[in-house]
Amino acid sequence: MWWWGWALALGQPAAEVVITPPEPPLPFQYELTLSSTARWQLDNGDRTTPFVRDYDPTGENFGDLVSTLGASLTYDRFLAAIRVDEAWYLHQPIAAMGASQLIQDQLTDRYRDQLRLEYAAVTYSDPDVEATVGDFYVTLARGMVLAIRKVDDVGIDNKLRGGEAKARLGPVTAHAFAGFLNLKNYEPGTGYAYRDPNDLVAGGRLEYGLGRYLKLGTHAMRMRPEEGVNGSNIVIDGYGASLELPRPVPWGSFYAEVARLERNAREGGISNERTGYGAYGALELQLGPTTLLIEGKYYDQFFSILPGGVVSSERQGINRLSEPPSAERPQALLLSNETVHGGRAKLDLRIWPELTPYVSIGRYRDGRTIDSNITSAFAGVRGRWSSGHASVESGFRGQYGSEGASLGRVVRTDLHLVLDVAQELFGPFSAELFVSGQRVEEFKPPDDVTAWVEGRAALSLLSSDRWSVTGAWEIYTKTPDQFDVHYLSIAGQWEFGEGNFLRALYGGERAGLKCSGGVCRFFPGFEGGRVELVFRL
Amino acid sequence: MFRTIFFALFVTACAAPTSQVGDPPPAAAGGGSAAELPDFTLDTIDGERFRLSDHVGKEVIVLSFWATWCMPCLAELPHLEELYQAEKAQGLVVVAVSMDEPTSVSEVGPTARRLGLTMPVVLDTEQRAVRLYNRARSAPFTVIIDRGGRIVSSSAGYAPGDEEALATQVRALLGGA
Repeated sequence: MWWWGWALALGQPAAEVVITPPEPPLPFQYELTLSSTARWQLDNGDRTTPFVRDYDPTGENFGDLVSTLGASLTYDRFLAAIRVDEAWYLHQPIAAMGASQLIQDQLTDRYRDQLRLEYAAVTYSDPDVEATVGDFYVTLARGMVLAIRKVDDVGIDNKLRGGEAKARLGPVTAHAFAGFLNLKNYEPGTGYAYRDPNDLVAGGRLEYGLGRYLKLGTHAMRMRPEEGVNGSNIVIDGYGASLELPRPVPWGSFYAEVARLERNAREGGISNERTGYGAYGALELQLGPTTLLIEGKYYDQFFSILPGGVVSSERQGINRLSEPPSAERPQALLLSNETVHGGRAKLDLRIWPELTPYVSIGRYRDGRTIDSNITSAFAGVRGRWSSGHASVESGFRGQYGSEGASLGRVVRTDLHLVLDVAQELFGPFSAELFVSGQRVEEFKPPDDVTAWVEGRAALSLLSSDRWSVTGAWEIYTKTPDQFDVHYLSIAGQWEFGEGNFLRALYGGERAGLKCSGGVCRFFPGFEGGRVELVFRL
Repeated sequence: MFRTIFFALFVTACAAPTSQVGDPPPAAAGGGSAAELPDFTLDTIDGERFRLSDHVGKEVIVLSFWATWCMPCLAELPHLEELYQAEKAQGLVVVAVSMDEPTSVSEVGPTARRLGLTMPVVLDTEQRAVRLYNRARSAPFTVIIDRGGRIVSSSAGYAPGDEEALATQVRALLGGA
């Protein structure tokens, strides 16, 4: 049935440059957006014989239709918006008769049909006041205390459902908010379903600004999760202050933030207190064609906040509600950002506008996992010419034991390479080559070494008529005995109308850890076909 | 039950009359005027405030959503800067809206200066502009608003040569004022 809708969408003409004459204004403006992905996953790449006890059917031979339908209406200074998320599964994977408990657990809370009102908000905005009732995102300063946000690349969409208001009175900006945590309730990549915790979060920030000369701010928040069935009672408090000199002189800027997190819990009749501290600073100097960025951080037991009042030292917790700056590459896998201090210097050159090299060197001391030193260095160059552009970046990150028996021992190393070249060809056509990969080695005592390569190379043919075709090859050698090493795919994309897309892919995509915006998430491999439609009315 | 409800919505959405070439694009189809265009206020990397409504109805506005980790964005921004330099006296405002997360926001200033950007570069860590004009969070994503305060085009992605079509479109809007 739904193919009928897709067929209608396919019938739309391609985009053109269209200048429309002014129309008499209506008192309101509306928008309806449908984003829908239909796919059939043929194989999960698991080479174990199907339907035996240890065979994991997760991600095997099933279909899904995952959609979001968003609508918004603007009237005068009011904006009302809703979003409904849907996930519908066909031929859900089931465990074989007598399957191990581990396999059965893998399928718990997974592949469940969903239909949810995921976002609903009414916002009022005028030059001095913004107020929202419903769902909203909030980040205090640079996220050391609180960062409730959306990171699409890794399928995260955390919100507060309640109210917020921001008022600007001359140089002062005041921001207050309160609401219950509203998580995205399913994870499209893995099919996992989550429930919303009844976590109340409230806080605010006060900021005093003098244009480019000064910005002083202080903020606080309190998180009170729902009382546990065993009577557990948790309160997390966070405080912070920031000082920013945005551009007091033409050649420099400065930012500094300090924060404190406290978790007071009474669980099972036992009190448990935990306190963490964090300090972060960034100095930017511009000397002629050279820009120098110096970042430093000092985090002491500066734990991550998770839903339910849980705290974690790990950075892979997907729904983290605080995100201190890492002072490293956003794509880097950081095993911990909790008890660590150090910094980096990054130099950007602009010798010629068309050729801009950069280099970054960092050094950190990580006191949590294994007391270790981390060295991180990467360099790159971007160039452009009249009919194209190119960029290349390569770097190294090494972690080495720094105390006792582990002194000098290698813990983990990775080498990465990213290459992007685009060139106008003829007529409306251009081509793009994108290569990204890394080689990782992990060492565990006494001499267990795991080394692997993961990467992607893609060649695209693009047309200014807004369509493209991409052929890609991916490699993942970490588990060659269990999963495939090589993956090939062909994909097409067509943009029609204004901001509407139809994308299709057939082939395979490797499993692996994907990091974006400081969040890392493991994505399962994919083998099959996928069609995605983004349609705006 | 809910499948039926959702598919009814889905089919209704797809079967509804859609815009044709020559029609106004979606946001303008509802009759967007300066007063109705959703507003946002964001800080620039130089500490100033950028308020969209200060420019709507007066100038042609190009909103360019980008991020420091987005390679096509970094290729497109110098072309937008050239267009901004050439046409700002005629009433063009180009705004580079950074979608960087708090973890990478410190990179925004150095990147903008390395690219030689003089256009307003604003930080949208709380997705105040994104949720209004780029809900799919595409990068790069370009929105063009004419002097009447109407969205005349929005498009995702960048390939070499796209800047010429964009410049043609913007100059037509400036010349037609």
